[in-house]
Amino acid sequence: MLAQLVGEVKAGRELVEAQRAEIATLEKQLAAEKANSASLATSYQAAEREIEQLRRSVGFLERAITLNEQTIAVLKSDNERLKGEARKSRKRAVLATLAAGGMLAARVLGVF
Amino acid sequence: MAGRARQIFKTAGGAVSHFVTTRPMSALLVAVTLGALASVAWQFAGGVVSGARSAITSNQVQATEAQSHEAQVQAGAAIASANETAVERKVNDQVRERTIKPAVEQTAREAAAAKERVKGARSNYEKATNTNALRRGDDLGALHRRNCADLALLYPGERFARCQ
Repeated sequence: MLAQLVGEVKAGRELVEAQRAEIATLEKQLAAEKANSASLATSYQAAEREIEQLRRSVGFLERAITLNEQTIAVLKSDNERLKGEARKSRKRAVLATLAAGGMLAARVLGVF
Repeated sequence: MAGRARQIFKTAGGAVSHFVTTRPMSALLVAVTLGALASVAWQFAGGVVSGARSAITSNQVQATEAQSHEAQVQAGAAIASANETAVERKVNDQVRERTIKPAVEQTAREAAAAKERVKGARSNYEKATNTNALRRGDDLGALHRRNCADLALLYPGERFARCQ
């Protein structure tokens, strides 16, 4: 009976030692998981900042695109106006040339 | 004053009328010349207006181009900042992958092994306790007597409490 009790105590001590070792290992695992979690949190925050910066850059680029479209519209409008003016100017030049030619012809023919 | 102006216009009108009736071709030439001069003046005025409009357009274009350039610079700064953050994040990711993750895996393996050891130790303990007659509810008097006999065998000559 005593031998049984001694064996029981021995098994109990071994169990306690094994549990202490397990606790120490679990504490080490917990510390490693905490470090991993902190690293993941840092990466997550950095990714959030990165996304925010990229969103801002997209906003600025959209603004630049809008302004460039405005510039293109103004330039197109101005180009159309200048084309119209050039057409009118050509017409006037043709009419002036015809009038001058007519007057010259009349002068040559002795009308004046 | 009005009467004098009316008289001047009347005199000028009479002179023009006289000129047109006496020398019609010359009057026509003068009229065409005046028309040509008016046309040149009109074109000049049109050029001035066109130039002014071009200047306004140029100012508008310059303003929008400057604003667009500023927005592009700000976008570039934001992208550069995002790239810096990305580099920091990647360095952190590499550190985690190279040092922290292996440590996590190692400690997980150690924890699993420790758990197995505990399992074995618990099994041994349960076997030891299950074979204990005391826990099986044997006759406690007989058990006590056997314990005292065991003690007498192991420690001859020693005295133990409650074994006398």
